Amino acid sequence: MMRPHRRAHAALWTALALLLPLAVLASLLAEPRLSADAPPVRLDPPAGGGAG
Amino acid sequence: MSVALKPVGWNRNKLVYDAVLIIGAAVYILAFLNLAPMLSEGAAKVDAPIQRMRAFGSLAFLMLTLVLAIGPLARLDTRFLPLLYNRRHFGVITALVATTHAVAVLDWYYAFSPTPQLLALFTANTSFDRIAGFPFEILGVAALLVLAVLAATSHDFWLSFLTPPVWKALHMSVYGAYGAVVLHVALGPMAGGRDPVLSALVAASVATLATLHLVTGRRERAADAAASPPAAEDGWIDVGDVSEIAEARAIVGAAPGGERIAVFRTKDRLVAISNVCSHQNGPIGEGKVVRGFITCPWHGYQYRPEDGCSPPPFRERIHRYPLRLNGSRVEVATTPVPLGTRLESFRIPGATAPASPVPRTDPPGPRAAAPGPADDKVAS
Ligand code: HEM
Ligand code: FES
Repeated sequence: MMRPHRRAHAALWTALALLLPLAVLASLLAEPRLSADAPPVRLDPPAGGGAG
Repeated sequence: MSVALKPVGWNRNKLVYDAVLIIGAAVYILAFLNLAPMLSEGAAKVDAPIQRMRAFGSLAFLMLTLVLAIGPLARLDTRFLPLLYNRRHFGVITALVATTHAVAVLDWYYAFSPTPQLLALFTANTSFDRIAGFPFEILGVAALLVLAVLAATSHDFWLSFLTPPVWKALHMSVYGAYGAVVLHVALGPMAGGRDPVLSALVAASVATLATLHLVTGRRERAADAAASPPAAEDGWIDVGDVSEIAEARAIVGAAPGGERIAVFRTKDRLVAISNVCSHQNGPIGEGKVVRGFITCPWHGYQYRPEDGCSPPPFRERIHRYPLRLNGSRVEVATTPVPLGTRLESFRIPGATAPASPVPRTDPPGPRAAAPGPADDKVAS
């Protein structure tokens, strides 16, 4: 009962340990983009001055 | 598998555990709401409802990280065992905090949406093809669904209804939920490096949990692989020296390819019993003998040394194995006796009076057809 459990556990965590750091890195490096219907006046600075 | 329901009832420990959790959560929320605007200019500009949504979201993430760290920590150091005891309440409270976060999102972000809130949540953003701007909310929904199912099935009723192997497998989906939450935060509030504090929290969480789980997993599999050496006779393994076993404690051996076996010493007797607790597969061999009962270190399920059964009214049963001494070496048969079979524990010759080298045979109980090679030191 425990051996298959340990194999599944190892597979899951190996996958998470590889995928999650990659995903976090990719999203940190991604250029923030406003969605097409974003309002023209915004508080967040990356939009380029906005309401500032 | 037993069909008996044996809920671990309420007791003082649990109330204290839950009180600490709830007070800790409340302190976090209050600190977040009061300190964030002081510490960060950005946070000071944010409306109160958004601030609340963030407080509960980050608390849910923090709690999920902690609850997932308890398992491996308890494997690495027994001082973390008290945290494991009531881990399920921790999980349920985490699910409640996450729900509060989600409700806050729906209340605020979609409060003025012309479409119904839930529909808006799923349809407002469909940019599945990009990283920054990805509809990360869907990942939060997926994680919350899993957390809700796990919280709903956390009671021992479901454990015995679904059987421990199925329940265990179901509850492993919490790792998937954790992955979804990390993506939820990475693709949402973290995207484009907008929030360094949150990014640091998420990176630390991922690094800590992946390391803890991979290291403990590797240790467990190494222990499995290093099966106990075979004894001279086929079907028996050499688990260790009798002098290694402290009173009321156990050493643990492993049959090649099989489950681990714990050998307990209680007074002048030795007992070989499955190392896998029938409650949630806890490591019985790391527990001790309490008032004559072999007691699991995780939630305190107890088993009688003589037949591996929980005392009435409970009906759990685990396997016992024939055992013998070869000089001072403890040898255990790799085939257990049938569940519930009475198998008199082995008396260590010359350990204490009455000094009879042969174990006494108890009054008739269900008799075992001794499965291993016949051994006259094992009374059936
Ligand atoms: C129905 C489910 C969920 C929805 C709709 C949802 C939605 C959101 C939204 C809209 C944000 C704000 C993003 C931003 O400020 O840019 C957010 C942030 C966040 N969510 Fe969720 N979420 C859900 C479930 C969860 C769950 C289950 C967790 C964790 C266990 C979680 C953890 C977080 C965290 C840590 C943040 C960042 C908070 C911060 O800015 O400090 N969410 N979520
Ligand atoms: S695993 Fe819960 S008592 Fe053993």
